Amino acid sequence: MAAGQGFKTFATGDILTAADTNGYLMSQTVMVFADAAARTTAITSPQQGMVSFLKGTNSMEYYTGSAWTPVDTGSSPLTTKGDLYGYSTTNARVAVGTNGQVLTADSTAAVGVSWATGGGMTSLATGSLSGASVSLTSISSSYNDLVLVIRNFLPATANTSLQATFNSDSGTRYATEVLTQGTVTFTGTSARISQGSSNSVAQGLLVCRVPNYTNTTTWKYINIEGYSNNNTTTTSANTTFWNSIYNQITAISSIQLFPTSGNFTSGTYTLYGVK
Amino acid sequence: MIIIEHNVETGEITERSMTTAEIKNIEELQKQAVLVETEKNTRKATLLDRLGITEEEAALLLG
Repeated sequence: MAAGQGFKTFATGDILTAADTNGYLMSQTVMVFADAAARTTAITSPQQGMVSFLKGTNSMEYYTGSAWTPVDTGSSPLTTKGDLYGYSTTNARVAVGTNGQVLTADSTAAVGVSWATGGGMTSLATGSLSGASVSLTSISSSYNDLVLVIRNFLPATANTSLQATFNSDSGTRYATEVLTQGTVTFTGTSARISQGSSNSVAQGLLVCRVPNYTNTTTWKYINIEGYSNNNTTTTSANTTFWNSIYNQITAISSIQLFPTSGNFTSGTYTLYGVK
Repeated sequence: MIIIEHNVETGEITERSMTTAEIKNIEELQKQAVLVETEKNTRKATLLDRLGITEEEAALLLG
């Protein structure tokens, strides 16, 4: 079987030889066969660059010099919204992950990548402050830190502050102090989140961070910063920048919020898990 | 008294009346929180009085 010869422009009067026919035409056309067996029978000595079409499988193949190989016809392995094009030893589908996951290099995965929970903050729960208490329960232990954001805390009773307990523990195990060097004593039965606030002006933004909340070897603390509405004047605000220490080593799985008097009128909370 | 329970794992939010024990507990928590803050404010006021300055003046000094 002649090897492909490339391209030739025939001039008027040229003689079409068998070598030209085989080299420029036969070896360089797309040859159609019923299947691979028929092709093997017909082409006993395939040449690199030959192209054939197999009707049985509707596949186009080219000869590499040692084997017939499917031509990449651009057909997609993707089937689902969000799928990505990957590669293992052939083109392959990387199935879409779940909401919030990020694509991660993963040598154990067939295509070398996999979807996994990424870093940053994940919103775990959001809701409104109402009633006499809001309890956030069954907090996942899958994160490094928790961040609780309180917006527009408005108590029903004037000069009321926002407090919190961990794990429904109302023992005398809490101490709240402005960030400073010093010794604290555990005289509180809850952590103080805000100063006494007005019951007429809904403003305020409090960011409460609970680092390393699942460890079982250290006491826990909640770092609070932000501001709340002033109790006596609507044109000023109370700043907040303090720690509340909880002298227990138990992992935190729930947080209870409550005003120091009466009910919540309004406000919102969002709990984030931080990787 | 109403308590809102938000199951973070399932997302389910339940609103229900507190039990008698829960009411007693939260009233005690509220009372204790106010007491702690009152004691702190009393100590602060006593110190300010000894120093002869107001809270605003103390804040100015610290700021």
